Amino acid sequence: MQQNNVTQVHWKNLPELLSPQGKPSQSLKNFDPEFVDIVDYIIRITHRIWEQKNIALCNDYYAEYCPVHTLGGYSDDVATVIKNTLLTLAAFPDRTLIGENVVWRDLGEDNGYYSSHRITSIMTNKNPSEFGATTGKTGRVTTIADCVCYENKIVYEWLMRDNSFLVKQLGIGLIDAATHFANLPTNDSFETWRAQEIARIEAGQATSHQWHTPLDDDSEKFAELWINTIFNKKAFAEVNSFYHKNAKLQWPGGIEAVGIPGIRGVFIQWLAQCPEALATCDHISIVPFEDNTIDIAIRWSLAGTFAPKNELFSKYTGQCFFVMAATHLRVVNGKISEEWTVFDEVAVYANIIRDYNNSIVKQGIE
Amino acid sequence: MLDMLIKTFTQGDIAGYQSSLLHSSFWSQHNTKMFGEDKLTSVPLAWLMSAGRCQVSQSLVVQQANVSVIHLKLKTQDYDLPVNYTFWLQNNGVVIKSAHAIVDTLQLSIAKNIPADEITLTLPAPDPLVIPDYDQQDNLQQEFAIPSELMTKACSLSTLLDSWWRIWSSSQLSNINDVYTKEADISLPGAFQQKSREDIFEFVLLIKSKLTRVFCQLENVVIEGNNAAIKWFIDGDELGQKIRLPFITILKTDAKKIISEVTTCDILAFNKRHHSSNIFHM
Repeated sequence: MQQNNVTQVHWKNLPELLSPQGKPSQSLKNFDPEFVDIVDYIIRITHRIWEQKNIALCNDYYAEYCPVHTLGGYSDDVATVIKNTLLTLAAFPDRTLIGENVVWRDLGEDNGYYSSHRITSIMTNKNPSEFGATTGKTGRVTTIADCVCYENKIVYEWLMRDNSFLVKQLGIGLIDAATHFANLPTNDSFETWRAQEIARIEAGQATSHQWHTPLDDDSEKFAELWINTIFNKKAFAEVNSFYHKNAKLQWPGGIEAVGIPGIRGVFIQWLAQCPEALATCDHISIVPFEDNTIDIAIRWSLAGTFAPKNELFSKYTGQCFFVMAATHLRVVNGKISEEWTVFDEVAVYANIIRDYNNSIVKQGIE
Repeated sequence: MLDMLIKTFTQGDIAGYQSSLLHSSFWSQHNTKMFGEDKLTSVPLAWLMSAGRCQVSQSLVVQQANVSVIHLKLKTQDYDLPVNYTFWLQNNGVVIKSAHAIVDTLQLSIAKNIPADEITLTLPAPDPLVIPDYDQQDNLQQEFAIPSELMTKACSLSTLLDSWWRIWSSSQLSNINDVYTKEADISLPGAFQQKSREDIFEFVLLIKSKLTRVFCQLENVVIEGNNAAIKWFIDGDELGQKIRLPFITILKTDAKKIISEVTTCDILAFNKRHHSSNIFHM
């Protein structure tokens, strides 16, 4: 089936997105017939669950067993998805999700679709949240939700949210938010997954979540080379071969850069806190955008040893630094014109703090 | 787009404004990026609350592909002095996808005779911004953007714009007399009087003398006929702190030299974000 007419959200208004016209542009095997393609499915179910507050629909659109990975926790049952959605809505009652882009991949008839959904949320903190006490402040946050969608349900999810940008707007310090988060209970499944992921990344092994439907060869190589050149080789001189001279970059916590020197600075400063870090490219999706332009979504992971630049973090030197991230690239004529990278910096530091606290307790016992 | 903006920002046609926006549109102004109906509606309302009813005393549009750059000189009711408001709109002729707007808030404060501190208090909290440190030198890499490289097609203004850009990017002040006509009509941030090319000299030095490790970055260039619009910013160190100062400049040329310039910068929003800065000392 031709997939050239799959919904493109950029210039479409919400009413138009909620009432798609025309024939389906993808086969969507065993999805509800109302959906015309995977983008339509993602946009409409997100709107129904979050903006229409129809949380019960999670039962319809999430599989009963659905692993959800975040840097701050793990769950694999729909009941937890519902509970977390409810808690977030209670803390941020006016949370609005604005779908900015969906970069997708057809995984084949037996596997469904992969969707990387970039969302901007606006929300006012009216009740205590995972970051601390009520602040009454309104914040904006970028999220990238990577989902495997199969037969009308989300069956696997990796969720990345720029929580450090959010907490700064709420007036909460990054280390305070991370410390608060580190004191919340964790679970064994999460810690097991995190340890396995760190071992995998340090060994340079590919993730076990592999699909074999073809991608545009040049774009796939571009994405893999981007990870290897910048994060593994630290070949920062080559930033100019990936980015346009006026490329824009948005990274967690309010990091913004335009142009080659600034972008190079972002990578150097960020990687300096974990100088021997290694990264793996875990998934790539590629879709056409406008003339000579493609959108690439990359999910990637990075692990290494923490070497903080910030004095406040100095006692955590030597702890494991682990990141699960998502990047959306807009590539025009073979170079990046815009980049959005999202990961949960609060959880990155919370994990480091928790590991440190646990090691202190362990030493005390010994 | 011009009509809609005028009706919105002079008469309060909020419905017309809302119908020009998508659910996913954003409006960036006063160093804050606003998404969602509530925040987007607050943009013209906040302007009208500060400025009141106003009239357009001058307008200019520079348009290329799906970008419209619109400058309005707005005169508020009962006051004589006009305020510069410049809009950089990504649009498809029907709806706006994104807006980067700069209001000359210092002009507004002076024009309305409201203390700068009072205007500053009404501005939204700036978005968190982290400017990672970087090497601002080119090191013979030829990595810095110049106007002619950002133009999508060959253009007769490329040499002129590159020369203009070197005034800022390379502190090539001696280019000023080459690129501006003697009678050039120049409007600079926070000032009302018509400025001359000598004032450009002073303005560049005013900013650069207070910063070290200064770096000028072009974001976009739009050309229509003999006119150009440039979105750019200055990064620099001021007493050890990194600052970022965004501008939109609109140049009218006679194809050989610049005959008029409007450079807009939101000085009060800059001071709110970088509150220890002394560049625009009040």
